Amino acid sequence: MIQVNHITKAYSKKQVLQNVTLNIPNNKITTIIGPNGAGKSTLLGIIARLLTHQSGQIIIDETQLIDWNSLDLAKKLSILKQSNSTNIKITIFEIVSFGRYPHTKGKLTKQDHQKIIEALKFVDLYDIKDKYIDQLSGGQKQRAFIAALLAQDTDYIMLDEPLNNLDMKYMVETMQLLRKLVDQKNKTIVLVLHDINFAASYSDYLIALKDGRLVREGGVDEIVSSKLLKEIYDIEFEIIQKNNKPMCLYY
Amino acid sequence: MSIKKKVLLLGILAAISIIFVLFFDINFEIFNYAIKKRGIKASGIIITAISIGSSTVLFQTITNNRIITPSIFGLDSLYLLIQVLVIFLISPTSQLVTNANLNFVLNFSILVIFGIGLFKIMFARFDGLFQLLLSGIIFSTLFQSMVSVIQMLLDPASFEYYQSFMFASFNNLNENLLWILILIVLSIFIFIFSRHQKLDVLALGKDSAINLGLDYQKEVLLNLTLVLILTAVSTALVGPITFLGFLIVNLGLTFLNTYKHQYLLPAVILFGIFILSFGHILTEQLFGVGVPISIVINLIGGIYFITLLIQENLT
Repeated sequence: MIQVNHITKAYSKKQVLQNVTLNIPNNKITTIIGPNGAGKSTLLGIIARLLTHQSGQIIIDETQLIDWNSLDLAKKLSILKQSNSTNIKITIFEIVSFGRYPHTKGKLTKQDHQKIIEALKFVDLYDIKDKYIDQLSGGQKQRAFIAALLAQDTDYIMLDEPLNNLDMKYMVETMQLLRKLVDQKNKTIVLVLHDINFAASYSDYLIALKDGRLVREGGVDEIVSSKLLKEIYDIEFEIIQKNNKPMCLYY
Repeated sequence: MSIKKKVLLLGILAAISIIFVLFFDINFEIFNYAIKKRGIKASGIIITAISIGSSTVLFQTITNNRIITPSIFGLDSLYLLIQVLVIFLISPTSQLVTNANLNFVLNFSILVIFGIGLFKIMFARFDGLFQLLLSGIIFSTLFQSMVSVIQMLLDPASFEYYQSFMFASFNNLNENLLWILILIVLSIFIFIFSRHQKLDVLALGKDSAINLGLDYQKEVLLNLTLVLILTAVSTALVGPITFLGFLIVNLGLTFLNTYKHQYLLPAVILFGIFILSFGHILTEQLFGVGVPISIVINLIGGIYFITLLIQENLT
């Protein structure tokens, strides 16, 4: 379980997160929602040790974040940031094989190869695995980075806006893949999503942030109500039920 | 051509160019004397290639940038400032500048102390590399301006003496010093090379490196210190060669088309040996000793730099 205790983060004088306390349950998809500037990505970055914070603590599996050995944690928790670019000459296969680095420190065994190929096939990039990253479209690039995350094979997987740049087909497939990872492989996934409908239909647990504060956390039915969403996003919402899943209409 | 063959090819090229430096147009009547002299130059070339090559590769890996080189710290201009200050304040015939060993120790220690001081201050206050680089640029400009002012105050005789430091040269190297430096530079290189997989991860950028379990702050500090020592060695030994690092790293990258430090590091160094030997022979045989090697290197490097900038702009 990931526990977030009284996290406060400020960039010089601007408060980005204020005293945020919450728990992220295991074996579930947890999605952080909220308007721009709510501190969603910052919270994700702090949990994944990419960003520092002023006060409070993160506890992952009963151990404080600062007490974790960085390499051990990389076998436990992985993160994919919003914008991924690299200016080095690297092929899809090579970038995915970096996912195995925490386990192997660079020496790939047969088993590692298997995992890499599995990940490549999963995101439909196996046929073009020797292409260089800088020749790919935005969506292909995004899928290559997701494949690297799959190859890293961690219990906790965090993705910041993973649906950016993706075609509808891959949006749905990515969410279905994440669902499968949780349901079949007992992974714990934390997401930041903008699309409230994607969040509502694929997540188990929602965390709503606004202006750096936690508004509410809870199951989908609890959060997705027109009153609460209006409070978060400042626009009117109509909620309809379709196949037992809530759908938000807001345009 | 496979990547290993390419590196091998470069190795052969570098070996041939070193043989050229050693034996080209040698005077057989004084063979023993001449070969010793040339051996010193050849080892100077190799040390410079290793230190500038590996330090530039490391530096570009840490900063994820293909254009900047460690000279951004201002070590080149600090080196010139030290020389001009000694000549101006003490005398052009002071042991501190005429004795190669003493001059090296003086320069090397000041450069390293300055660098470490800069790291300490910048990393204690900020957590980013960029502040460090920016402050390096500011110091570099400051030192350059100070050098320009003091240059004006020198009398013509002293200035002529000072001029010999302004451009890198392999013509006045000290034998005893070289052996120690070869040992130091080689062991640092072996250390860097043994960590080539970590460097590959570091090249992915800060977030990816942390995600893959690298202790990022520690890695950056360690590698920056190595960059500092290597840059200080080459600058204190032969003087400033601004464009060499840029030139050979980009040649290596373009030729191999890889990010793997396992191949990149040797290839860049071999390119360095080739270019330096080539430049050295060119300056000695073609232009006479009057044209220093760094002018040739900076000419080639400068043209290449501009070409690369234009290409980058077009794509």
